[in-house]
Formats: sequence, structure tokens, C-alpha cells
Amino acid sequence: MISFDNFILESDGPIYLQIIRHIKQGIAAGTMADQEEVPSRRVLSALLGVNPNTIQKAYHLLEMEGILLSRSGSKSCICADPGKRRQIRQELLQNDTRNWVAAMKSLKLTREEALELAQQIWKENDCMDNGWRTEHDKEKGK
Amino acid sequence: MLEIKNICKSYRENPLQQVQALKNVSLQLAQGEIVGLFGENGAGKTTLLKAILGYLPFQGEILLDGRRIDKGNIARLSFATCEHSFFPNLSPGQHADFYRMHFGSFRSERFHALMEFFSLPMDKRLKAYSTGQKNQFEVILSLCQGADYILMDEPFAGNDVFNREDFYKVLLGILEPSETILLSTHLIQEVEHFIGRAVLLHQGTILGDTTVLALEEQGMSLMDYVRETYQYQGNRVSRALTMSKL
Amino acid sequence: MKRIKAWIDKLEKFYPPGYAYRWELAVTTGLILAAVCFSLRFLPRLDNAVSGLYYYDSAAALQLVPNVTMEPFHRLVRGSWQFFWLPALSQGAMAVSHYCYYYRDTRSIYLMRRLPQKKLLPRSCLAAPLLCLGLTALVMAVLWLFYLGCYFLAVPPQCLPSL
Repeated sequence: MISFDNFILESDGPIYLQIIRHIKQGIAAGTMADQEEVPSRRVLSALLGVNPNTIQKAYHLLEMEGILLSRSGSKSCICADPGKRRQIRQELLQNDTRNWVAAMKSLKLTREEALELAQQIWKENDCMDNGWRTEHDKEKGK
Repeated sequence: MLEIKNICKSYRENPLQQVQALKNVSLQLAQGEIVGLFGENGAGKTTLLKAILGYLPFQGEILLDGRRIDKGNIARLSFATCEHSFFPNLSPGQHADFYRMHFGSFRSERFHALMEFFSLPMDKRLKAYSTGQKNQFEVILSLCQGADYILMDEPFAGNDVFNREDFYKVLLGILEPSETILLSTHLIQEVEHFIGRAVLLHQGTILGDTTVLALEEQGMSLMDYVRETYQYQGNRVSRALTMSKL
Repeated sequence: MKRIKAWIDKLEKFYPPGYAYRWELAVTTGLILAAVCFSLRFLPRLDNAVSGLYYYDSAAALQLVPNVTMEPFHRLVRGSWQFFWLPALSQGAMAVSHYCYYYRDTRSIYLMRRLPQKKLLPRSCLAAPLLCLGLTALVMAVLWLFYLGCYFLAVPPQCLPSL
């Protein structure tokens, strides 16, 4: 069963899009497997505290894209072979990058400045990750 | 389908003045909808709910699946109110017996499951419950009556936010497709994701009626929609301060 | 004792659910008993009136006053029912109290007014007071018969007033 444990409801943007994105990200990241079961509409509705119509819309759109498959009863499952997975991954990456580029341009950065900034933030992020890993190992060692 | 057609209701506030609590209110509720009823104090929300339940006379027509609401179909409506409509001297178990006796389709299993989930004692008199527990029990009764249309009037006044959130989630989990909720509440932002449709009442008339999905398509939050519909002037206070009126 | 208690428990259904009906029953019973006690003043009144039919002759023997007629029963018994107004009128107050119960603490009136059985609300308010009124009337009737019996037993037939 795919997990919604780290799904946080954001206040901006339609919820059905957030749910779709969560599932696509899971597929792209490999945390949601092909043929893995998806919570029923009622269960997800109760889990997230969100009206069933919203869940229904998200699931319906995913079904139209061929990412979700409705089985008998109220069961559905992920439908993502390696090709589909690659496609979703590409789509997400392109979308996020497009948004980033637009954000940088709106602040009047040049391409070089934007790429330099990206490199700097990436390095900081790496350090933070390593720092966390060291702390985590220290704790484990204890 | 619950059809509310051209409801008018007026009160005589004093010998010289008549107040129109409801002016030509028309509304249709399909089975399975979760509808939020919003409006300022005195907008007519409670009056509308009471008219549907037959507690007060009104002009106009209210039909349940094409039929007037009478003793034959009144059991299909249930009511939960912040004023509480249970018997303070009886225990929950005794209430269940009463409901079983008078409403043929009482949901015993759901009742026990909800009582257990919210850890409410079955044999204690309701008088001895805390306010929050009383609210919970009031809502539980309305959910277990076996009604198709569950009307709620500010049912969570006095419950903490976690309590309320638990309840919304439980409701979403247990409601069947045939069960409809009409929830009158002030907590617009809180119920935004829970409801599927919002109806806005203002001074006795319906100012707005939209589905939440339609709002999402327009990129509008429910609060934005309410503000826009009421033409709420958010900068009213700061303007008055600037002009030294306050 | 157990039987009486079981019988009183059965009366619960005539009252609003959860109503403290035992207390009300006790009050009604008390008022009826008090009215009966006051009403028993009829007996000394009867005794007095019957004594008036006799006199002691020169030989100190009890003799009936010639051609004397006893006071009519209806006049004698008048005033024995004074205190029965109390339990009777109090039933009206109790009916009102039953209705007000649905507004006390909570608004259980909302539940009562949307029951498929529309008669339950008026029944829960009026059934017990009406029954108690009936009981009061019954007690009065029994007392009346009892007093009538005493009257006919105590008064010599020749002194009975003509109808």
C-alpha cells in the first residue's frame, strides 16, 4: 500500500493537484512500485481529512493519465512500468526546473548568476546532509 | 434530494417591527453531499435548519424526495445542535434504547464504535459529561439515528481543534454515499477541505452557493470566496485608525 | 414491597424520559392523603348530627326526638372536599413542569418534536397528571360512598329526610 505518511497539505494550490504530485513523486523516486495498492477513496479521504470529491478528482485524473488502475471493488493500484516511470520523472523534473527558471528570471538574475547560486545552495545542502549523516552515525555508534 | 423552495420566515421583534429572518431561500441538497452553511450571526442559518426540521412555521415548501416532511419521513432527518438535544438525566445506553424504540433504523454498531473511539462512558448520566464530551455525544447521536440528512448547528462549540479534526476525519471515514451533511459553522477555514459545497447566507438570503472543486479551479480559497461574496473590507479597521475615527 | 416498587417503576413510561417522577408521585400521594385526612372531619360531623337526633328522657334513657329529620347527606358532606383542590390543581402545575423539563439544561424539546410518534410529547406531559386527577376523583368517589354508607348505618330509617 502506498504511503501518505509524509504528505503535508499545503494551503496554496488545489488539493487534488497536491495528491497527484505526491503520487507522481513517489513513482519517480521509486518509493511507489508498479502494481502497488493505493488506498481507497474513503480511506484516503478520512486519512487526509479531505472531501471524497477531491480524492475522486485526483484519482480520476490519474486514471486518465494511465497512472492509476481501478480494480474490482474500491481497490486501485499504481500502473507504472519503467517507461512510464521515466516519463513521469522527466515531466516532474521539467516542471520543477521550468518553475525555478521562471522564479530566477522574475528576480532579474542572469543564467550565470542563477547557475552559480544553484551550485552554492547545492554545496550547502550536501554539507547539511553530510552533517546529518555524521550525527546519525554518531548516534548509531552510541 | 432535499428541496427547499422559496422559504420566507419573519419574526415580530417588537409590536412595531417585523424582522425577515429568511427571504425566499431556495436550496437543493442531493444525497451524499457534505455542505457547509456559512453566515454571520443573525444571517438565518439556525432559522433555516429549524424550518427544515419543522420546529417553526414558515411560508414556502420543503420536500424530501418529492414529499412533504411529516411523521412518515421525519426519521430521515437528524439534528445536532450546540444547545444539545439529549436528555441530561439519561445515560448514553439509555439514549440508544430510546432511539432504537422511536427511530427504526438506529445504527447500533456505529454507535458503539464511535463511543469507544472517543472513549465516552456508556453508563454515566449525560449531566456529568464535560462540555466537549457532550458535544461529541450530540454529534454521535445524530450520526447513528439512521438518517439520510444530518443537520448540524455549530456542533463543536467548545471542543479543541484536535478533537474537531478527529471528528471530521471520522465522519469522512464512516459516512455512506447515501448520507448527507448540512453543517452550519463559523469555522470556515477549518472545514474548507472537509466540505464539498459551501452555501453563504446573509441577512436571510443566499448570497453564494459553490462547490469547493469549482473554487479550486479558480484558484480561490473558501475564505477568499467568502470575503468576495460579502465584499468584506479587510482594511476597514486600518482606514478608520488612519483617519483617526477610532 | 418489591411488588409496589416494580409497579412504580412501570409508571416511568408516563413521564418524560429521565424525569424525577418518583418525587412527583410522592407529592401527589401526600396531597391526596392530606386531603383524605381533612375530609375525615365528616365523621365527627356526622356523629354530632346523629347525636342531635336523640335526647335523654327523665329516666336517663336514650330516646329519639319525635318527628325529627336528619340533616340531608349532601349538606352534611359538603366541605369534605375542600382540600382535594390541592392535588387536583397541582396536576396542572406538574403538566407544565413536564413540558419545561424539555427546556432544562438542554433542549431535548428538539428531539421530542421530531419523533415520528408525534403523540409522545403531549403524552409525556399530560398522561401522568390526568391519571393522578383520575386517582383523585376515584379517592373522592370511594370516600363519598364510604360516608354515604356511614350515614345510612348511623341514621335510623325513620329520620331519613325525604328525597
